Formats: sequence, structure tokens, C-alpha cells
Amino acid sequence: MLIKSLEAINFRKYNKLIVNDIPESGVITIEGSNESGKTSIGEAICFALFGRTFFQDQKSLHKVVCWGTDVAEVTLNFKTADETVYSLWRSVNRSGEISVRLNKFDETINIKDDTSAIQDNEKAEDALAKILGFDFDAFSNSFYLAQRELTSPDPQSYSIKQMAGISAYAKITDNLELSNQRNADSISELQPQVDTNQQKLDEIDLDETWLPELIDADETLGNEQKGREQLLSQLNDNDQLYVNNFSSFNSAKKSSGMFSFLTKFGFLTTAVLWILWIINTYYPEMLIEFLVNNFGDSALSSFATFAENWLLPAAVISLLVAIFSWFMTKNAKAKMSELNTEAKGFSELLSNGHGYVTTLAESLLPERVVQLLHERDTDPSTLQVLPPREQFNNLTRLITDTADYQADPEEMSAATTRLGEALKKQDLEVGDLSNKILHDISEEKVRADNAGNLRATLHNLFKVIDKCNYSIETQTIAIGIMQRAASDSIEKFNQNISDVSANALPNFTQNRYSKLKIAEDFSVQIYSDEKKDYMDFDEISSGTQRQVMLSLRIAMSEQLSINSGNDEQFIFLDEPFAFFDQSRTNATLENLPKVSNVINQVWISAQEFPNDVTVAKQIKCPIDKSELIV
Amino acid sequence: MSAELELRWLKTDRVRGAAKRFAEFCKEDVKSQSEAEDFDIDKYQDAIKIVLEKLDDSISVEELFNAD
Repeated sequence: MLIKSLEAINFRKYNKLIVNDIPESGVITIEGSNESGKTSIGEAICFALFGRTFFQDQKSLHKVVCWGTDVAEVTLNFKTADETVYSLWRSVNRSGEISVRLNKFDETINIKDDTSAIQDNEKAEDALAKILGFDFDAFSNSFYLAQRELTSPDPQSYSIKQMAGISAYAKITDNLELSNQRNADSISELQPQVDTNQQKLDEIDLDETWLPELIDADETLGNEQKGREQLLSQLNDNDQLYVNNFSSFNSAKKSSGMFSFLTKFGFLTTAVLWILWIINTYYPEMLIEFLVNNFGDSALSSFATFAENWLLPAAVISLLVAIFSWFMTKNAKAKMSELNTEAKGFSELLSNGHGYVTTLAESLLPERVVQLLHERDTDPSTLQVLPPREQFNNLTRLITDTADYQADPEEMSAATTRLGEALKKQDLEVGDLSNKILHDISEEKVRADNAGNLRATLHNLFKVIDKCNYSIETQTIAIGIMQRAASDSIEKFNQNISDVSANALPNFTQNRYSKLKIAEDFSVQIYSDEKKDYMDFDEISSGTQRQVMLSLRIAMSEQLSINSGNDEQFIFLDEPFAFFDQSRTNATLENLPKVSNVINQVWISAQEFPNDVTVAKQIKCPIDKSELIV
Repeated sequence: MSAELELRWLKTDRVRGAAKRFAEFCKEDVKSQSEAEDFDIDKYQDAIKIVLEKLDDSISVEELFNAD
């Protein structure tokens, strides 16, 4: 980020401070004697950005308010890497109450009155943190060199993590470790519930195949019962019907025989009479000759009388009788066929009944159900006892005889009655068994429901536990990746710091020192060309120490810029040359804008600057005025 | 190397700052980590997503401006 302009009202010694037209690169000098307000300019920048200064934290911040006034205000316009210019306004009153507003810069609008600005302090600070990418500590350890001894930051500090670009990893690692702990706690809390539910489930000891077997047995018994009841009803309906059909069938059989004979006789007679009539009508001489030759004239006379009066009526009547007999025969046979169909139905009923009274119900049920029923009921039942076989000895024969009405109606009626009674008894017993199995099914369903609920609860518990375990596993992997990424970043950070510092040092020391080594704890060793060896930091002069630390500061600033997404950055150095001799001051001033590709706007304060050094902007602080506009 | 181990879904040009550096590191790290016997690419990828999500879990500056 680069500073575009700075305006302060009633801030420290300044009633009014305006710095405009600030160049984006090069050295900006702030020159003035003691108490001229050089440091106040840097503090105004720091106050605007972080709501505090290097010397005044938020508790003592009211001290920046100019003597005799109530409120100090600073407006800072700055540009970020994405070329956005922001306008930041901040104020503090004598009570230490701070207000802040942030918006994208619009020169036509005064930030104090801008309604589109982020006015909520918390949101404005949040937005600022995102825009800047670093906090006050990192800022004061890099871009802002206060008027103090130069020291390197604690290698374990959060500032260094920000500079190395791993501060986010540290925060995320903390969050993930906390999350892992919570997940582990959740698992510990859930485990007793799992144990309790599992124990209850074990106690139920549900056999998943038992309920289907019971239901299957119930359905089988239901079908058996239904079949018996249906058969009983049909037997009752058909008992008297067989007796009636028996006489009808025999009557139809007789009619059929008689009319069948009459049909044959009638058609034969009809044929003879019609032949006689045809011969008599169309060939009479042949007939006369036949009758005279074989029977004499008297026969001819009788036949002539018969033929003249009765031959044709007799032929017609004979034909009618034959047709009538043929019709009656057909009718009788149709009746017999109909009765035969019903007879087969009787036979089938008997056959079904025979099946029921000669088959053990237990042979139809699952083995374990039979075993349970046996264990429960010591009394013999339909399950394992059949009705006495002698009661149904004639049933097989009756099944055959009934089919063609050979069975005696009385015998058939008696057998049907016995069969019906046996089926009724079986029906009651099967119904009783079915009720018992229904009760078992009901109980088993309750157990199955309980087990189902427990399993569902366990499933949900395991689901949560699995999720927690997976979270722990992946978050632990994530922490591992971040640790390796952090080590990699630190390694690169240290290397870059060494490279940039080593590049800057010869420029600041007029090539007297050209190499340095920086350890992981940021302790520094410098290579002396004179001694041909590395020297410890405390072996060199105070001035050179400050030049080395200035190199280090530039290097760290560059790293923080890069890692916070700023490819152009300002740096504020408050009287860094206190221990520099004139020649090194000149060398440093000339080289400061060149040593880094990122740190291009360099603010430097000093009591005086050499005249022969080229600078981008000069700010001269007046000792006796409270207003400065440049 | 399989496409899975190249983490092709991880687009380094679609993220910025710390997320970009992390994504670039992961593309290298997965190569060495995949040699471990118990390496699970799915869990590794999920772990990357967790970190990336957290590196970019806050609302943007634009959203803050628009929300105010």
C-alpha cells in the first residue's frame, strides 16, 4: 500500500496538517529540529491505520489530542495493490473514544459526511485488516521504524508469522486443534450411549428370521382354515344336491336309452315307408309285378288299398316320431352331461376333504414354529393327530364313484357328514393355533420394533461418531500439511531475508560489509572482508549494527509486503540515521529506494538531510507553528 | 502420476494470497506424501479443502462495503 495523502486536525502539535501530492516512489524526507513534529506525522499515519500509535496504546490514546482541543482527527488516503484508493478517517476525543470510517476514495466527498462509508467501528476495523493484511505488531516490526533502538523481532512472534505468511496457518491450526478436541469430547460423550443401547439390543437378542417364519406360519394356517371353511360350506350346499342329482341322472339315463332306441327304429321305419311310397308312385308296375309274383293278387289288392289311403301319412308320422325321439335323446344326454359336471365337483370336494383329514398341519409349517407349538401345547391337536383313518376308509372309493353317480346317495351323505364334522373340529383347532401364533407375532413385532429403534439410535450415534472421527482424521492431516507448508515458508522466508539483507548491506555500508548470515532466531553474523571471517553482531560498531538492522528491516518489510499481497509498499523510518556518519547516511539515502522492488515509498525523518541527495518530496516541519500544509 | 495426484481440481490461479501459496505447496507436497503406505488421497483432498475454506472463510471487503 502507498500513501496518497494525509490530513490531521488537532493531532499532537498540529492544529492542521495536510500532506498532498505524495509521490508513489522515492524518498520523502521529513526534516526538522527536536519537537518540530516529525514523529507526529508517522504517528498520524499509524493512528489512522490502527487506532493507536507506537507510544500511545488505546488506553492513553487521548494524549494525541492537541492541547486545548477536544477531538483529534486524521484522514489518510491510500492505494492498495489492486489500484483501489481508500479513504480512512479516524478520530479520538479526550475520553479516548474512537470513531472510524472507511470508504473507497472519492475526492468530491468528505469522508466524515460520507453516508456510503463503513461507519461501524468493528466492521471498519475488519475491512481494514483485510485490506492491509497485517496488524499493528507486524507493522511496527517492519514498515514503521519508530524512534528507538533497532532490534529484531522475536522469531516466535505473531509478527514474524505474518511476515513469513504463515499467520493464517497458526490461527487455523489452533481452530482445528480445538475442533479436534471437541470432536474427541463428543465421541467420549456418545460412547456411553452407544454401550447402553448396544447392551439393550444384545438383551433383546432378536432373530431376524423368526418373525417372517411366524408370519409365514400364520398365513399357512389362515389358508388352511379358510380352505376348510370353504369346503365345509360347499359340502353343506352339495349334500342334498347329490341325492337329487342322483335320481335325475338315472331318470335322464333311462330316457336317453329309450329315446335312443325309438330314434333308430323310427328312422328305419321312415326309410322303408318312404321307399315304398316312391316306388308305388313312380314305378307301380315293378311293385305290382313283385307283389303278384311273390304274394298273389289278394296281396296286391290289400297293398293297393293301404298304399292309396295310408302309405304317405304313415311315412310322415314315422318321420315325425323319429325326429322327436332324436331330440329327446339329445336333451337327455345334455342333462346327463350337466349332472356329470356337478358330479365331478362333488368328487373334487370329497378329494379335497380327504386331503385335509389325512394331512398333518405341522407338515405345512416351518420346523421351528412346529417345535415351539409342540413345546407349548402338550395336548395332541390337529398339528400332529389325524382323525381315525377308518372313518374315511370308503372315501377314496366314493371319490371315484361319485364322479359318475355310482355312489349310493345314503353312503355319500353319511361320508359327507363325517367329513364335515372332522373338518369342523380341525377348523376350530387350526383357528386356536392361529390365534396363538398371532399373539407370538404381536410380541415379536414389539421386540422387533424395540430392536429397530435401538438400531436406528445406534446407527445415528455411529454416524455422528464416524463423522467426528473423519473430521479428526482429515483435520489432523490438514494440520500436518500446514506444518509442512509453514516450515517450507519459514525456510524460504529466512532465505529471502538473508538474500535481501545481503543485497542491501553493501549499499548501506559503502561495500565494507557484503555478506551476512541470519540464523533461525534472527541472530546475525556479518562477514568482514578485513578479517576474512564472520563476526558476531556485538563485535561490530553501533553504527554498523544499526545499518545491518536497517537492512534486516527492509528485508522483513519486503517479505511482509509480498505475503500480505502488496506489491508496492511505503515504509516510515523515524530518525534511522542517528548513529550513521555523514557518508553512510548519504549512501543509505541514495540506495534505500533501490534495495527492494517492493518497498518503493520511503518516508524518512531526520533533523537534517544532506543537500546533495535527490529526494522525491521534502517536508520541513516548523518548530514554532502548529499548522503544516505541503 | 495420476490425475488425482496432480490435484487438477486445485486451481492456483483462482485463489490469492495465503490460499494461493498453500495451494501451490499442496501440489508439491502431495507427491512426497503419496509415497506413504497409509496415504489416502480422498482424505488428503478433504484436508486441503478444509484449510482453503478457512483461509478464505471470511466475507470479502466488497461485501463489507455493500452490507453497510
